[in-house]
Order: sequence, then C-alpha cells, then structure tokens
Amino acid sequence: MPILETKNLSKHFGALIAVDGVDYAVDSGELRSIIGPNGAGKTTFFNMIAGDLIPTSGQVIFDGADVSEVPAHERSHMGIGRTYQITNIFPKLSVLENIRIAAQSRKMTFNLWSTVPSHKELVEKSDGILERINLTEKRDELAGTLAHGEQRYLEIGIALATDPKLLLLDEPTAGMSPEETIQTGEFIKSLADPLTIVLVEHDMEVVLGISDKITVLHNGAFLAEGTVEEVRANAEVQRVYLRE
Amino acid sequence: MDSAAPKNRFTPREFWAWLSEVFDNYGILILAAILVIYPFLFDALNESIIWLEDNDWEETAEIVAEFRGFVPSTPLMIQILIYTLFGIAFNILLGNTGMLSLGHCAFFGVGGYTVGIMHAWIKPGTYAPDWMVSAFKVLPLEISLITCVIVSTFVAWLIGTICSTKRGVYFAMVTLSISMIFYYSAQTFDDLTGGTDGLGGLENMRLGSINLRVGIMDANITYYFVFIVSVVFIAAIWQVLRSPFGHVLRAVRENENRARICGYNVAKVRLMAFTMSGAISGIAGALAIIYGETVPIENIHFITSGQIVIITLFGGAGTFLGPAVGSFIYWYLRQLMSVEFVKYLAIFQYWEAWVGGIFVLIVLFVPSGILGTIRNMTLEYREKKLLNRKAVAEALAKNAEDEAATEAE
Repeated sequence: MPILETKNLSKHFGALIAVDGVDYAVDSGELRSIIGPNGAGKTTFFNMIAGDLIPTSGQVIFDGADVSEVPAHERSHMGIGRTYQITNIFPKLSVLENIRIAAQSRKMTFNLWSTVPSHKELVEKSDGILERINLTEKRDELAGTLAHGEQRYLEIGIALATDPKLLLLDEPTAGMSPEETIQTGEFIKSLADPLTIVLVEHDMEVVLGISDKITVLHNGAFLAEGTVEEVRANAEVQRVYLRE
Repeated sequence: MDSAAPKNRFTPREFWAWLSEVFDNYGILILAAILVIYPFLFDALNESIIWLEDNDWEETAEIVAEFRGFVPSTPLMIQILIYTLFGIAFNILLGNTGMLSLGHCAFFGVGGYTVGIMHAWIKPGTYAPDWMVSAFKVLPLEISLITCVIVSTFVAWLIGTICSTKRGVYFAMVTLSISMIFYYSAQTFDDLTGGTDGLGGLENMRLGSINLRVGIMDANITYYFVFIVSVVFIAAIWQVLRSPFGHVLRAVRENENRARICGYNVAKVRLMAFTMSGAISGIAGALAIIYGETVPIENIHFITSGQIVIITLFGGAGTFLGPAVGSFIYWYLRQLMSVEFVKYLAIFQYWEAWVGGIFVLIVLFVPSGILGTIRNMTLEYREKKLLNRKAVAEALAKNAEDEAATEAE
C-alpha cells in the first residue's frame, strides 16, 4: 500500500498553472526522486504534500487519509517532515535547541509549569540526532553561525527530530561542493527504509546513485517515471533536458 | 600575539562587564532586598530631616531635603513596580514572540475600569441592583481583583482571536485600532466611566480589613500590596518563559514557518501568548488605579501603549528584566525633570520632549536597550576571557615543547 498518493493534483496561481494534474504514489520505505528543469513545479508539488499550500484541485492521500486540506502543523504530527530549498532553520537558537524544539513538538506545546532541562529524554534524543548529522561538536553554537553545508544537515536533523514516516527533501545538496554532494547522497541513502524519502533535485547527477525510482516533472505535468536507466533512455526526458 | 598578552588595564568596558557579571549572579537578590526594605529607607530619610530640624541643624536638613528630591519616593516606586509588571507582560509578546502590540492600553484600561467601576458603582444610591449592594457593605478588593482577572483574560482572548493571525505592521495596526475602540467607548459611556474626567470616588479600597490608602506619607501598605502582586505575576511569567512553552514562543519569533512545519499550531501559540500578556496587563492596570484612586482616561488611551513600548525598548526587549530597568529610568527621569531640573531650567517642564529625545538616542545607538547592551558586553567579555585563556594555555604548551626540544638537543 502506498504511504503517499496524489490524485490529479493541481495548483493554479491565477492564470499560471504550476502543477497540472499529477498522479503520484510512493510505497513505504522507498527512496524516490523528483527531477525536472527550473519551473517544473517540483517545489509547488512538495508544498502541497507538506501543507504549505492547499491544492486548487485533486487530492493528497497520506497513510490512507485524505490530507489535502489539513493544516501543515497537523500533517507534521501525522508524520510528514520536510526541508526547504532555501535553508530554513532557527538561526538565532543554538544547534541543540534547533533539534530539541522540533523533538519537543511531539510531546508538548502548552507545558507551562516544568522547565526545559527537566525533560532529559528530549535532550538525549536531540544528542542522538546531532551525532547522526555529525554536529555534536557544534551543539552549543548558534545555528546561524554554521557553515552552509552544516546548516543543510541541521535542517535534515530538525526534520528527523519530528519522527517522520515520510521525509521530503527539497534540493538537499543545493549550494554544496561536489564532495559534500556525494557525502550527502550517502547520508540520505542511509536514512531510507524504514523512512520513506522523496527528494527533489534540479541536478540529475545527484540522484542517480541513490534513488529507487525517478519521476520527471515538466511544466507542472508528469513526464516520465522509472529507474535511472529507464529515465535516461527516455526520449522525452532527453529532449526536455537537452533543450534547456 | 596581542590577544594573548595579559591585560593589566581595566577598561571601562570591562568594568561594566564585570559589574554586570556580579549583577547576573546576585542582582535579583540585591534588587529584591532593596525593594523589600525600600519604604523604610525612604521613611528613614524623611525622619532624618525632621530630626535634623528638631535639633537645630537647619542647614544640614536643607541639604538632605535637597538630596531627597533626587531619591525616588515610595509612591514613585509603586508606579515603577506597576509599569515593570506591565512591561514584562508586554514583553511576552514583543521580546519573546516577536509581536509588536500597539494596543496594550486596552488591557491596562479594561483592568483598571473593571475594578474602578465595581468600586464606584456597587454602593447605595447608584444604579447597582439592591441585592449586590446589600451583599457587600463595602466591596472587598479581592472580589473586584478576581473579576478583573476574569474580564481582562476574556477581553485579551477576544482581541487575540481577532488579531493574532495578523503579522508585523498589520498586527500593530489592528491592535492599535481595537484599542482606540475601547478608548472611544470609555469616552462615550461617560455615565459609567466618568468619561474624560476619569472615574473618581474610589477611596474605599479594602483588602480584607486593610485599607489601601495612599497619601504621600502613607503609601507603605499600598507599596507592599503592589510589590507582592507584581512579584507573584513576574515570577509566573518568568516560569512560563523558561518552560517548554516559552521555548516554543522563541521558536515562533525566530522562524514561524519552521515552527509550523515542526508541528506547532502557531496561531494557537500566538493566541495563548497574547491572552497571557493581555490578562497580566489588565492586572497591572488594576494595580495602577488602586495606587491612583481614580481611573484616568489616559490609562486606556494610546499614550499608555506608547509608554509601554518606550519602557520596554529602554531596558531592552531581549532581556527579562529590561522592562524593569526601562520603567525605572522612564519614571525617574520624568520625575527628576518635571520636579527638580525645572527649578534650574524652565525648559525641563517639557519632559516628554527630553524623554523622547533620549528614546531616539537609545534606539539609534544602543538598539538592544540598556540591559540588552550590558548583557551583550558581558557575553563578549566572557568570550574574550575564554579566548585569552586558551591562547595563554597554548603559548605555555608551546614553550614547554620548545624547552623539551632544546633539552633533548
């Protein structure tokens, strides 16, 4: 059974059709990629899955429930975690606090009468995640002072701290050096299964090695889907990418 | 290496940093101790003047009396305490959640009017129904204060539901306009509120059997009442801000979108912060009328909102006790200028202009406020000290290595 499904999903901004009737399904534990040239509607598609945007028409079905109109914070509780193309962290909070605040959202929002250090399990969980994203040494620094690559990892860490079932990564390697890109690819692969991951990439090379299946969007519409070789061999895809 | 050289100069910057470090550790205790005995200190000053006069030390008495003009009186301290509570409540929004409300006078005023109207009208010979009048021969302050808490919480929640979904300038404008509705209502229903004359006739403020009257020499009871109520609520706010919820507020301030994607219902969090802030502002408003014995209409006018923004920014919106510092400076300066300085230079009667000018200077040159700037200096100083220590340790280790190397040769 697919964990995520979209049916005829569309988003219009006035006359502009950003996403045009996309049918899409992801099985639990898969690592999937969505690629496409600039303006293909990848990010808009993501925003509708995560709840940042409400679709104009069509459905988003997550874990068997129609979530098309569910607000973003509730989708987070249902198990959708995401990162953004432009790094989106809490720059003036410490690295640990960035992760801890995300972990806390699973347990409490309106807890007024305890103190933060008394919830040791949250700090332990956060430290565990910091180890996974390799930022233990920088735990007490301000997140805004980290290097770009470290901030990208931190954002993935924030998403992981919310215990997602589905992780949406919007261009996780944007702005990274080639070596960093390879490392990040490995890291993302290590996260998959039981976690389901969908990532959006502008650059095809990044996703080649790690994805189970690649979906190509073009002008907001579905263009092709398949394994790396299938997509590579696809004439339509070649035409779109070469013309660019 | 310059930074590794040991410092033997004690620069003013470092002195302030050192002072604030002491203040960081023991400041609250020192401050609390002073505040607890403050009325006695001020009384002692008054009595010493009388004593000096009685003993024919007229000249010394005059000098001390002159000096007394520069010491904040107990009634002024009451005012400072009330605006400290108001400012800290306001800062739940401005400093912690990142919402600039320009309508907090509505809560301050509503809190005051709730208590004021109850005390002014629940007595024989007024519109109040007979059963109410006969139930309370004299309305106890406990009842009106509890009503005030309920009413101001409700009003804050109501206004919050309307405007806490707005952001930035829109939020400021909506809160401002709503507070003006309250102001004009208070003006229009002058039968009930006394209109522009203010609501008077509140001399019977009794807490149990204690009469909270304020005369110049009789402010001590009111002082302690206001002190205890303020401390209780300030402590409550302090706890809330260090609780998990307080951290959520800061997360919303830093990055609302990320907080939402983390799973926080941002609208609800903002509403909750707004309600808390408004409710406690209402209590501060009630304290202000107990102190003043009247409800001036200015309490619900935009001027009050402006005042609290200035007070908070004076002290530093990013710090917990900033509004306390701001409140002290604001009221003390105001008092000094309009009572003392004006004796020497008539131009000081326009104290608003001077305070406004100082406010402009603070915003321009120390935008994080007085306490905020001191705190930043401390952090800078500590970091420098840490770096120095590291550098010295490294230099020592290198020396030892070099020595070992020469010895081996």
